[in-house]
Amino acid sequence: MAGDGDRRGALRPLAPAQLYAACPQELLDFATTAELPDLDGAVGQERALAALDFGVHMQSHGYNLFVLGPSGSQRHRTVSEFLRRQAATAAAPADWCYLNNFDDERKPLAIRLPAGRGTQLRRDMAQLVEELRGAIPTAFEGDQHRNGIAEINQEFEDRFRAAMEELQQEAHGQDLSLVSTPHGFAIAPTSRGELLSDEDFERLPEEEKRHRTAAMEQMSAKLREHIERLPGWHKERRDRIKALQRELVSLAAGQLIEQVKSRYLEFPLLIAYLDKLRENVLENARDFLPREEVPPWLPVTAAQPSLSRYEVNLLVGHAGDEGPPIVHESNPSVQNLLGRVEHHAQFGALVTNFTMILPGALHRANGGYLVLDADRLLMEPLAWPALKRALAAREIRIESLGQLLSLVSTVSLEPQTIPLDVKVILIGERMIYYLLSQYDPEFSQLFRVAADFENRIERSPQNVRLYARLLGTLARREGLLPLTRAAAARTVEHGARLLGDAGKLTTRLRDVADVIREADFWARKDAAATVIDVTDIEKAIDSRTGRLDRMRAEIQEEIRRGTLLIDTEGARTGQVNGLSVLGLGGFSFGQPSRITASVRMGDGTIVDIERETELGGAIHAKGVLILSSYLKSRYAPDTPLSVSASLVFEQSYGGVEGDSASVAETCALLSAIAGLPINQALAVTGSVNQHGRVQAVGGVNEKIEGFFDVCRARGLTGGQGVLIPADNVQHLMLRREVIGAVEAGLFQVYPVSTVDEALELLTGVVAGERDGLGRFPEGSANGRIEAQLRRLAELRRRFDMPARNRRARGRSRNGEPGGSDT
Amino acid sequence: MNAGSPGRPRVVVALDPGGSGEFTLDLARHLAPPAVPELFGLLVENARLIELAGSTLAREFLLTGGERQIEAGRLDRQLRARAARVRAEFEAAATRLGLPHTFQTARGEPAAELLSRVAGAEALVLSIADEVRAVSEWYGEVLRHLLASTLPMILFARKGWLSGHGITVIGEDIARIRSALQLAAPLARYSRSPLSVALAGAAAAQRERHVEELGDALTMLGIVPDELIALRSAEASAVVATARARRARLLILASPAMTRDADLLEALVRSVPSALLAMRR
Repeated sequence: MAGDGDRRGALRPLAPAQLYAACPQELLDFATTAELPDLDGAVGQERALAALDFGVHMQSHGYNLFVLGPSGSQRHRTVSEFLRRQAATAAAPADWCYLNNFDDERKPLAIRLPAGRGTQLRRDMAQLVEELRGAIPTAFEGDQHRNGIAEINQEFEDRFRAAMEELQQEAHGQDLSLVSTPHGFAIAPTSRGELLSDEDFERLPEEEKRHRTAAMEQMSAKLREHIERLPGWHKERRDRIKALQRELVSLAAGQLIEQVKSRYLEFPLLIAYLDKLRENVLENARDFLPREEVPPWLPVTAAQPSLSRYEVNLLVGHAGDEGPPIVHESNPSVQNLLGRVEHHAQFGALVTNFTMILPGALHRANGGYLVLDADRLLMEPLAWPALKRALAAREIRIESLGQLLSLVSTVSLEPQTIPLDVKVILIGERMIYYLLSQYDPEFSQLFRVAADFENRIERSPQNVRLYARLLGTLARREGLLPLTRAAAARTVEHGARLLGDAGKLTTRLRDVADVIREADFWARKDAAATVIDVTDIEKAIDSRTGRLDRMRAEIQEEIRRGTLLIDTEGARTGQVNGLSVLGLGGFSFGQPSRITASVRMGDGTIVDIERETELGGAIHAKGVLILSSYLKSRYAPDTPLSVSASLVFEQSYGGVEGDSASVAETCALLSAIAGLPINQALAVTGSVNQHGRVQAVGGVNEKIEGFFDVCRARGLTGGQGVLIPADNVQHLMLRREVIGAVEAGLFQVYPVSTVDEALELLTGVVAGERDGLGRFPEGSANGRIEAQLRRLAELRRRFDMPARNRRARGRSRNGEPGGSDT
Repeated sequence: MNAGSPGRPRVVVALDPGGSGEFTLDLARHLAPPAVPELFGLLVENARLIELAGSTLAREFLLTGGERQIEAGRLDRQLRARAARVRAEFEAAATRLGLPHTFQTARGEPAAELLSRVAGAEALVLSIADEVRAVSEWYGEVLRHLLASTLPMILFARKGWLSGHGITVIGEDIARIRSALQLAAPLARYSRSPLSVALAGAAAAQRERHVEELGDALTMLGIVPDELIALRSAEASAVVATARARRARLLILASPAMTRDADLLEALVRSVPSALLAMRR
């Protein structure tokens, strides 16, 4: 390694204590979490809870809520518990019933009743129908009905018979025969009781013939008159019987219906309905008579009259409920939200009635709260527009998917709409919230309150104690063993590690809860344990990692076998170990990558091969452009940057994204320009800005551990280590093995703040600062870089001169103003 | 069509399209207890009607409102269609009730046709709609001939059987009433009808005693009527008044004098809708 001096010692590695922020057990003043009281609500979510509180109590239109935050952050549980507490202080909302509309059966009536009264109404109506089933047949079987019908029938039979006998006698008196035929009556002249033939008639004297003809005409007129009267008589008889029956049924049923009405006098709509029902009962009293048994040999049974039209469809009942409903709809399809009308097949057709109207989640939640997953809602066809329409109109209109899409033209029900008063709480990822805010103007009108759940909370002593309580609550709620103090502390540390930040704790409690569940499994498996100890937590964490470790192990093996080329010793010019993080289904790990740079004289172009091959993402490309700018401003402020360079992630066949390799790329490039070899025992991560400042990156723990694993596999030499941005030191929560190696002096982690520091560590050559004349010290890394760039600029100037002269001569011959060489 | 067994009591059922309901046969099956009678369905096509078809002077007035000449061909088709329908209904009902039966269509003078077929029969059931009866000039003549015959029973099967209330037996002497009750009691049990007995014509002084005797006699037979009534008179008006008041589903006349009285029967048929059974033996 060339250079004026080794300044590596001046840039000190981090002490072991800086690599892992242990949770001080003295913060936790309990033996096990069983001693801790339950923790209701979330830890560190004050902002979200305040938004929830505001949104739930704000009664104006459109103040529905969107709870945004990462999954697994206990949003559902927190919202549920919050709502449950709110609901405990309020009354249950109204019951809603659908009733038959006797004026138009296609449009069932919606009736609102106080909580519990809907159930009572349903019971009352069922009882009324039962009583009518008894009372009406009794009225029909009674003597009053029997005698009344008999009298009416007798009267009309007498009337008919009298008329016919009168006709018969008159016919007889006029020598006419009146006989019945299959379709009516016939008359013909007779003589002494015998029919008069045509010939006999012709032989009669003219006077006699005229007399006979007149008699026939007279009789015909009377017969016609009689026949014309018959339909009227039949109708009159039917009406009289109907009126009689109506009167009897009115006596029998009226009192029963009045009794029901007296219980609901304060509900005018219901009273009006009962009046209509009374009319309907009177008109259709025969439907209450016992049904005749239909012989089984009849091929088709006629539709039996149904009394279901007098039923009450209790759509939503809140009898016994103590507060507003909190409905979680896990399958928010249109029908599950808005309700639906079912059908059944009858004689080859689909039929329905108001009793087949089923409620949706909006009905069930009306007067309370409806909690929905935003992503599920948005994935259901037409569900989101349907929900918005209901919220905007503040009413629930039951429409089938077919109707919504105008695909169905068959007549169905059009139930009366029900006023909607509900707080909808959508729970979703932040991205969904931002997309809806951006692209759906109605969203902002209808979901005006955002309750933003934190991804992380401060790792303050108070929060650590609350976290421990939360762990205890989780364990208790799920019937797990309590955690010892050490186990709780280790879990807190794991909460920080999951976040990749030593000063914060994750709020994605699902992952933490998984660790506790699995620790409970291990504790119970190996011994008759009564607590979860720290070893169980460690085992749970390790086994989780182990189960997901296949890809990391394969990559490590490829590196160890030399298939993936990573040097961990020696020095190479233009080559550096970069670090990247691979995320695979919730598990991420670090992987070293070889980054190389090559340079030659050129026009200042730096080719990012990843970008050129479309393997690099936009952020990575941005990083390369930034380092390019840094290079120009730092080393060639007053001369053309006369170098062409190319940068590449060697053996990278997938995409590269992010700028966390830009320090490494810068160092590789500078190494290549200056011809300074880079120590391959070190790896580097960090992004760089235009001024050479090293900036924090993500996944620093995984990256360090990824390089450590490679070095450990090859044998730790003591010279190996990783350069990380100084700003990332606060994020370090490294594995025990790494800390052990650092404690043993076998591995180091260096914090760097500038590219110069990184360059010094990697090359072992002092970077050097410009002196008063603006020159870097001779022999310093920067001095060498600048000198090389100036040399290339001079070469380029000379190289370009003949071409410029040729162009100038050409312009002179053409009489054009010409430039001159400098 | 079933051929009845030799020696089986025969019941002639005079049919008409408007009157041949299944209830008629249901009633008829009880007319020869304990035997199951053979039913002989008879549809008489009035010869007078056939004659009308040959006359250009005759006119037919349809119940639907029109009027027309009577054409022989059309009338024949109508009559045959009507006969087929009546026969089908009769046979279907008889089969359902499990009764042996035969059916015949006769074309001729109604009284003569009917009388020629009731000889030796146990009973005649007149299943003829009131409307037809009212306009049938032959009906009165038939009735008079029947009453003069030795036919044991004549049943006027009428729809009052379906809508009336109870069975009422009216007679003038205990022996005949007892005899009638042999038939009426099972019928009352079968149709779940209250059974009433009216003793007519007893002298006032003996009336109470006769009713008591009748009660005892019936008790001996194991028959307990729902009501025992004493009528002051056996006059037609008293009988008709009683029948009207009771609105029975079946009225049984158990008196030879009454069952020979065409005017009484006519009056009863006119005044009450009940089915009427004249027991003449």
